[in-house]
Amino acid sequence: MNVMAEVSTAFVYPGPCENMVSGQSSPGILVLSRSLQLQYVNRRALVLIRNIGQAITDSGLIILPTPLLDLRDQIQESLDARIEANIWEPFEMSRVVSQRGQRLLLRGFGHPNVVANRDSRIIIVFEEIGSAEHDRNQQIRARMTGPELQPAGARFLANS
Amino acid sequence: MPYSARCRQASTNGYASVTTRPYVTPSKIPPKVEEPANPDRRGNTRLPTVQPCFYQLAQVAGYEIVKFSNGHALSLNTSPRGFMLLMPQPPKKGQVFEMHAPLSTEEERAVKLVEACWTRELAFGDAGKIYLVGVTSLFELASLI
Repeated sequence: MNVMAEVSTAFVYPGPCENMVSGQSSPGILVLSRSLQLQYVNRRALVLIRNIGQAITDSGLIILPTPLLDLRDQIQESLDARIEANIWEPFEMSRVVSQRGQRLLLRGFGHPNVVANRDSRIIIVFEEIGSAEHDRNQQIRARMTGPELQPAGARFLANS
Repeated sequence: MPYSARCRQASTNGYASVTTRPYVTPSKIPPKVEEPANPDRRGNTRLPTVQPCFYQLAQVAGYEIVKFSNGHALSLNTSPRGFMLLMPQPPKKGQVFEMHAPLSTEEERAVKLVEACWTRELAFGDAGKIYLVGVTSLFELASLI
């Protein structure tokens, strides 16, 4: 296997993944720490958040809309309760948000960390509903990974 | 009796003790036996798997986006808990970022959230600096391309 040749080409030639990421099919993703610090957000998430409320102010500050804040708080509350009860399986809480004729599925995942509680995370995945894209996104499967984690077991649905 | 006290006693007696062995600190020279690098860091066996992928980084400060960046990377090996990447830019230790890689079916792709555990700078020909990055997998989405 010519690793060096593969290294050279990997940095030069765009692969199919680049087109996937830049396209509309990429899921929106937001990651928060247990203490609600923003750790990661992608461009797609900001676009979709903008559809249900303000996303970024002129000064570049991210403002999360109320439905998203509500889901975030629910997950944090549940995450804290589970950690307190020594329950380490990840869990999912979802809600559908309708704004301006557009429906968005917010899938929130609580990701407890048994090794370091403060490293537990909240992950929110954004999927459009009622579009051709959603037909594709319906087949999105989520899987938690980590030494202490099992596949998402619990699923709670909450109305917006 | 401590060694220093024995030395003082020997000098006052006018002779040097030949039976007393001074305390010697353990040698800090590493053994010459070949050992795997940082064995404690490797929780699982790594399988060499060279695969191109795409990454997205977001530099955030509080709730403010400082910078988005993306590019191509190369996955060099994988383990059940994570993998090692070759990247043109180094994420910070503990930084969460996004990786996209095709799955074996070629109709699906994996969108992975990973956390950077360590980075090592490498000089790589005309390409300048590149970085080895060890990451832990946090979350994975699989969807149709």
